[in-house]
Amino acid sequence: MLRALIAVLLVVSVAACGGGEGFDKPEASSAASPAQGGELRVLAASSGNVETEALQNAFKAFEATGKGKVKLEIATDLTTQLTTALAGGNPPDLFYVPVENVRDLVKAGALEPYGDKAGIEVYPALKEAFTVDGAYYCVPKDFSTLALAVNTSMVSSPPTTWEELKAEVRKHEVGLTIAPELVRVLVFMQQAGGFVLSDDLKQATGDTPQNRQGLAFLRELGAKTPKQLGAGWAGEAFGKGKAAMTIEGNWMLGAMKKDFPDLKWQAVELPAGPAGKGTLAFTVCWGMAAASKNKELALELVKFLMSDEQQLALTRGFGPMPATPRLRDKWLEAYPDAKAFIAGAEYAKTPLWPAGFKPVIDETNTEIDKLLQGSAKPEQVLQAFDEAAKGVLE
Amino acid sequence: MTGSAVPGDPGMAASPEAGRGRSPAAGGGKSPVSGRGKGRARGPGIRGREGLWGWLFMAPALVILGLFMVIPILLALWVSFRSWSGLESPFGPGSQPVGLDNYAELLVEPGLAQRDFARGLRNNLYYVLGVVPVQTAIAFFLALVLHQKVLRARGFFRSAFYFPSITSSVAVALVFMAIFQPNGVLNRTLEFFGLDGSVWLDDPRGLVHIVLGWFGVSEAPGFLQGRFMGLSWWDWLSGPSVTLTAIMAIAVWTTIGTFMLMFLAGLQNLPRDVDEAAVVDGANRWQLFWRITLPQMRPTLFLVLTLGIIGTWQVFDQIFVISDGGPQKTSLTPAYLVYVFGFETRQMGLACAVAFLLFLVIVLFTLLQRRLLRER
Repeated sequence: MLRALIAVLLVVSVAACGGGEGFDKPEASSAASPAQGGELRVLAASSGNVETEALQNAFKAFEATGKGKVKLEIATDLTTQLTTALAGGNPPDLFYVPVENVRDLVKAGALEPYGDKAGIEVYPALKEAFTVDGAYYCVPKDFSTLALAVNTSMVSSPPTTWEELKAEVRKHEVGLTIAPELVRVLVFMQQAGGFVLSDDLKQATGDTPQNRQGLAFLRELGAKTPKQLGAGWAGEAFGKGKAAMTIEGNWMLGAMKKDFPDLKWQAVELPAGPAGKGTLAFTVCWGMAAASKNKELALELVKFLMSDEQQLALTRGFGPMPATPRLRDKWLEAYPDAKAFIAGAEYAKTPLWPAGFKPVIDETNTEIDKLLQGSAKPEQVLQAFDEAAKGVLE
Repeated sequence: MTGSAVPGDPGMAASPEAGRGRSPAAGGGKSPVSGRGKGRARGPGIRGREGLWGWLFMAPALVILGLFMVIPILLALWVSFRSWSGLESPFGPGSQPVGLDNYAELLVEPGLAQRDFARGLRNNLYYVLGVVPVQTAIAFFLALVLHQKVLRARGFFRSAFYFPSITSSVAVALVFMAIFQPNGVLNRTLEFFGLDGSVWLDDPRGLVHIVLGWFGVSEAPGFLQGRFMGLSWWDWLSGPSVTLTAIMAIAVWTTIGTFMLMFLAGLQNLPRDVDEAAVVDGANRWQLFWRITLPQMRPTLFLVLTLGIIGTWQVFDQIFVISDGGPQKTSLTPAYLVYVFGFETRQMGLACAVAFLLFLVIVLFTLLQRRLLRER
């Protein structure tokens, strides 16, 4: 019960003890030459054995080039572990940075802006996602998009428009299950031509007719939350056949194969709304610690990991797609089922949030849960978002 | 605390002075060791060295407590007056002094932080009011049952009742999650009796709201529209949500074993002759309990209530495993909020401020409880 308090206290004390060493002389350490054979520490999160093994193999291959050694740590809770490591002043050299965290880390001065130095070709939208105030901070390692997962033994022809989706949902007891989260239901607002933030991330645009239309449509669908169906997440509810369809990302490919190998399902592009198609993209980059003592070697490692060969090896078996556009067809050869996800890349929008936006998302998710449970109206959700966002954006 | 709970133990009644003089003698009253020990205690010069040795023996404990308790607590207090993301050194430029801003943000400034803190206080208050009396009453009852001389297989029951307390709370939470599933044991059982179940772990409706709903009150009446700390009075009076109530049931189930053991220890130390005297005076069982047993158990009761209040105000693990503060933030508690602010929204200053406000709340409740239980 005391754990939360103790965790905070420990962070504070770790920070206090480490502060003296790590932060007083960052210049001196970065000036030191990256000795051949140095050791890099990498902190990664893993979706499972497949991803862990892929990472281990990649690092072994890097070590075989004789440039240096790599020590991999798989985080059980990436955010917490990264926070403690950064506060302690002795962070790992490279670590996963999900796009929703990048602006917080930049604001804290934790990231080294090395993106341009790496010179790796990625989708422009992904590069933009990791560019803050003109500086390209880190190279996206891969990305995912959202698609409609359809249980093919329950649905004969997958819907392609809102009308078809509505008609299909009516045929089932539970047609659609969706996580009560902004970064899922946003797709309906996009398909109606809306979004909740202006492109410069300075203005909240929650309560607009388009967004209202998107949420009103979602409400008409009568979608259930995974919890209402007794599942931990939407993929589980879908895999157990409790809903005919769900909206999730590339990770469905790995997860369904692992947990529900007999399930007959298919991923299709999200049905188009009145303003056409719309989906969200999620991406994670190789963040380099500003306090790293081995930046050149770390850069070498990123270049190695982003080579065509390694990117293909690292995106095999658990879902996400290579960040480099020219690998698209080669990747698709190995993954014919993933066509819908890669098609979404054409028009996907990466949801970017300004620093300190997490509480706004949490609050909005609460309202979205109310919407899905029938105790809030679309405009209430959107107004709650605007009100909460105002506090952070000012 | 053990001293007051076990009044019969003669060792605890001795003063530290006497304790020190006696302990070397414990090996054997007539040995030369004891004689030397007594001689030492008289000479002031040697006493000084004794102090030194005392500190030396205490040093490991002091260093460990200082390093892992005192220093972090002081640092946390300091951080609660700063704006710090937790992503850089707290002594670096990223950590700025903000005075009382963190506390103000939680208590008086309208905004998300204030509303979440208010929700946390509300939820936890219902949690404490629900869990503490129930767990104390059940634990006392079980202890009374186990205290009966005539009961068979006492050892078995004692182990069985204590078992939940020594099981990992995370494991317990996972088992209860299975029970509370929409298709789980609980709903199936209710179905068998023709009752409707619920999605227990995803039901944000407050109990008071549900009951008011039966009488046709489903919206906030006019006089409850006002707000306090960003939450309307109607929301303050919601009662615990169905999900929080389920978590409360789990908490009661896990903790009664420990408290039962404390009550049992207390009961076993009560002098029998008082009971017998009361029986001779013509007291029936009911009077015996209310007039004789209960007043004598006041120290144990105080201990159990204090531990209960502290434990329930700090509830974290069940929330973390079962609900993540949901559904719709109805199981958010201050302790969980510390985690959310510290690690998810990266507002370490705010997290530490919540921790200290929580500390104040606990002190306040303990003092209040002490007053209520005071001997008159």
